[in-house]
Amino acid sequence: MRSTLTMKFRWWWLAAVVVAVAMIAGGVQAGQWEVVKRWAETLCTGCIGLY
Amino acid sequence: MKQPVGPRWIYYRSYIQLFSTLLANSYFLRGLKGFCYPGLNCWSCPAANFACPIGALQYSSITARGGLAAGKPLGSVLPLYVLGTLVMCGALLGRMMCGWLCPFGWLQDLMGRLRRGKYKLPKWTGYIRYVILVGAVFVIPYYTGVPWFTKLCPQGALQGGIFQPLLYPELRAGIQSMWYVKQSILVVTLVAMIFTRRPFCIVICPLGAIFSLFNPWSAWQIKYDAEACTDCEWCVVNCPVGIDPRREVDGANCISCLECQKCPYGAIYSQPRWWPRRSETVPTSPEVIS
Repeated sequence: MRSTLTMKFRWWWLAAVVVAVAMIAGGVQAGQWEVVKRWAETLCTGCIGLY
Repeated sequence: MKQPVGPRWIYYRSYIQLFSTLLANSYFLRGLKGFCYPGLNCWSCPAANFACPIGALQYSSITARGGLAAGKPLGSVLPLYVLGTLVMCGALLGRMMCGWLCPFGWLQDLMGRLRRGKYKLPKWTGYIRYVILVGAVFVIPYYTGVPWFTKLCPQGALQGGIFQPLLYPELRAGIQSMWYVKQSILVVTLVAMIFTRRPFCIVICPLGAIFSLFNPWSAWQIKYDAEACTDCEWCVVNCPVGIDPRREVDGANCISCLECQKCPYGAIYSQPRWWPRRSETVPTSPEVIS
């Protein structure tokens, strides 16, 4: 399957990078960077194992 | 026996892993905490600079349910920024982040050095991480509102569960049975690292599960040259995840650490995908050969 699907077309990765750039730009524009930052700055009791 | 060869830069992997761990936990870049680090590094570590992508995906799943219930369109509740970052890293480098950048991967490499003989995990265990990715990262948090992978993550137990209560005594009052469960998981994982190769990467890690989807078609590729191979099995003995690079190079369990590229016979090499394979560049016309 790898040889037929992925090896013949060598630019799947480039298509994925273009999609990824669009996703990141869209997410940042929608304020997701700030949301993730807020989550990361809040003490995560689950990560620590409290309560 | 011939000595390992390969390009010089692949011999600096341990130093790059050390640098990556320090970079992610140096405290001084905390203004970048919105950036998802492409490795398993707990954002609850007191010195963590970046966000954990798996934690962010779980919280995205939790908030997505509320968003959909409030009538928001599906596109607005999808974690585009987090997924885009992971797709970008995976499409360019496949699972190379696991072998070169992940702090927990580095810990597994270090623990693995404590004992030479290693048990081989059954092949089916490699599918468990996909179940964990779908179940504990997306489905269960969505329906229960609880980030269950976070609650059980051994990296969180190590970086957050130990250092936060040590630094902030008021947190110790909150230590209950869950903390002991979490620390027990960490101890079991640490012991498993000694007896088998990269057990967390192969069996558990949901981030590795995401990156492994990109391995077969990422921009950076590892190639196997069967004509140069002498079947000495140097690569099999030295592979940090215990796969057979002759058959599974760029497979889902390969972490692209490039240890196999030190092959004494040069039978394994890596290069950008758009470069021609070695066999495609060998001169074939009689006048060139003579």
